[in-house]
Amino acid sequence: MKIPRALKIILLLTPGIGLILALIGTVVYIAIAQSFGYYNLTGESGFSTEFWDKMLGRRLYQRSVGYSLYIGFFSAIFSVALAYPIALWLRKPFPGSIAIGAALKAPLLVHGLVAAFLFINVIAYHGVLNQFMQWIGLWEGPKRLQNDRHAIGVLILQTWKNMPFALLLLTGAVQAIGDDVLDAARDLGAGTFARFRKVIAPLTVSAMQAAMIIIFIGAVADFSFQVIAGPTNRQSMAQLMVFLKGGDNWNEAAVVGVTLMTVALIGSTLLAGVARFVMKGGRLR
Amino acid sequence: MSTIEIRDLSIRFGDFIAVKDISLRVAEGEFLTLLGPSGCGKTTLLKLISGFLEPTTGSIHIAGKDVTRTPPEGRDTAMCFQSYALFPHLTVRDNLTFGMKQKRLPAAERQARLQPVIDQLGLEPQLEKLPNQLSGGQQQRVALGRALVMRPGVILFDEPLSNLDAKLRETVRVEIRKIQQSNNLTAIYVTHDQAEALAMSDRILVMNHGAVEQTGAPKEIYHRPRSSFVADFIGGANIMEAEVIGEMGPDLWTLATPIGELVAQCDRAPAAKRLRVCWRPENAQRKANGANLVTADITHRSFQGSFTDLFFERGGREYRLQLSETADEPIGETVRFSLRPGDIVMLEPVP
Repeated sequence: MKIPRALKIILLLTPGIGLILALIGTVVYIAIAQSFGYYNLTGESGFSTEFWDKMLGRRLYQRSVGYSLYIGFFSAIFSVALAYPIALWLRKPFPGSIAIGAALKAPLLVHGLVAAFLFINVIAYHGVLNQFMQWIGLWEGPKRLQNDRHAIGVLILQTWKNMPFALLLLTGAVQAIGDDVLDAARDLGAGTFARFRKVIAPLTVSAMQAAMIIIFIGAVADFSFQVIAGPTNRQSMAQLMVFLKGGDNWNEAAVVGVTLMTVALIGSTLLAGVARFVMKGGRLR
Repeated sequence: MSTIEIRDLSIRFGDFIAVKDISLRVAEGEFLTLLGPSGCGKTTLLKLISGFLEPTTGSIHIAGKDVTRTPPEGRDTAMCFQSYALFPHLTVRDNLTFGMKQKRLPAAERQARLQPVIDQLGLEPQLEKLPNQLSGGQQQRVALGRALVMRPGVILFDEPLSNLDAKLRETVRVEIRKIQQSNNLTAIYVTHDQAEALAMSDRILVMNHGAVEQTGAPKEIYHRPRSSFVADFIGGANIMEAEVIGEMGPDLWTLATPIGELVAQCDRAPAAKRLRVCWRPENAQRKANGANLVTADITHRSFQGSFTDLFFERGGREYRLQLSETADEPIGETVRFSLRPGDIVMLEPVP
């Protein structure tokens, strides 16, 4: 008996991908079902849009979505923007380039919580930065830098943590461009910026998109940096979800969870699409 | 169109001197080939001319203008790379127009330059394809077209045929030469293939260890090499040590060599009493008597199609004769051949 080719492929893939899909699918299913009133741990279970209505009307939820998008978007942009010039600088080996590359990737090995605590130590009211600025005479007294309103601290931490990942992907992509191709562009009259815009950017766009999507999804769901260094008057979606669950509002927490997944999916797709459009000079192909 | 003038050009990478004191003049419309083995400095010299490298000392003038410190994008040169260096994300059309767009030429001007090149190189059916959809020969044509549409004063070729198969290489080299001549382009061509250099060039510059070994027209380089390096690198040569034992007449010298006493004709005096001499295997003429008659026992033979290589040994060294395909002497048989005095070339002194 001949098994159809498509079925054969599905059967071969099932033990690996099937398990992954089953595990992810279960989580997604439970979150969606719970946001519509099923699997209610503290009351009656049954279909209801009550939790969505309630959350969509709450300012706390809206601010949380906006804030998480802000962190996700700017973390991805800053990380990639910083990684590009470094990747280009490290494209060709020079004495010390391996050591510099390794040092720049060190944040990948530091846990986010540890990094956040270290950062807080530096920017605290009586921290190293404040003392240094006073010592050199630029500031008369200590300034409050921790938990700032615009989440600059969180963005710095996110960029510090994610830039090495973007660098890892972009370095590989940039190094894959042959010297001759860049020399040819130069020979044909392209200056530094034109070479980046017309050759390097289009040829590394896939790596850049991958970096942006992964960083965006991670940053939009940030919890640890936000709890330690984030503004006290805002909550990220992950923080809000944990806060609601702590108050036994499981269904409302599920609404935030489903929102988080949707925002990550749509946001990263849009971000990748726009980035591709810009990097390819207004062409999507 | 442009002339190139290079004065005392050198480049050093740490302790290593890649190009040593080269001075050279390339006339307008001339096709000059830089020939030499890998690592001899020919590509480095080309990169100095194109501006990708800056010399340690010396100067480069293109069309009378000093461009020694001018970056490649500011020079009136266009380069054809060994790897073709086509932009993989752009179609053939976009590859061809890339340089013209950088120079902000109007669309009408771009089209006016593009069309003749497309017609000349037969690229019309490939215009909307990406480079990875083209064969090696087609990619080479696009690379050539991309350089030609720029209408450069000087066109530079860095071993452009080395990635093509032997048959295609012959076709494309004829095309390159035709295009260079029809556009009266000043061209510098780098290769390590002596046959390519002999077939294409107006003049050949042979390089070794970063320095010029000899410059001259292909025939001169082939028939009158000045050193054993040039003699050995260009075509096959039997090189041997000799001692000048007398002067027979104007430009005629008697030499004692491992294959016997020979008379050499040369318009310049020998460089030393003990020197190296060479003769080409195809210059051996089957004769029973005459000048420079040599008798040899064949040690092995190799049929090559239109000719046969016969080998013999003398003084622990092997020598090669190239005779017509009908040469049917078996191994071990004695063969008698003669060499014309003019075919024996005196080279450098024995150190």
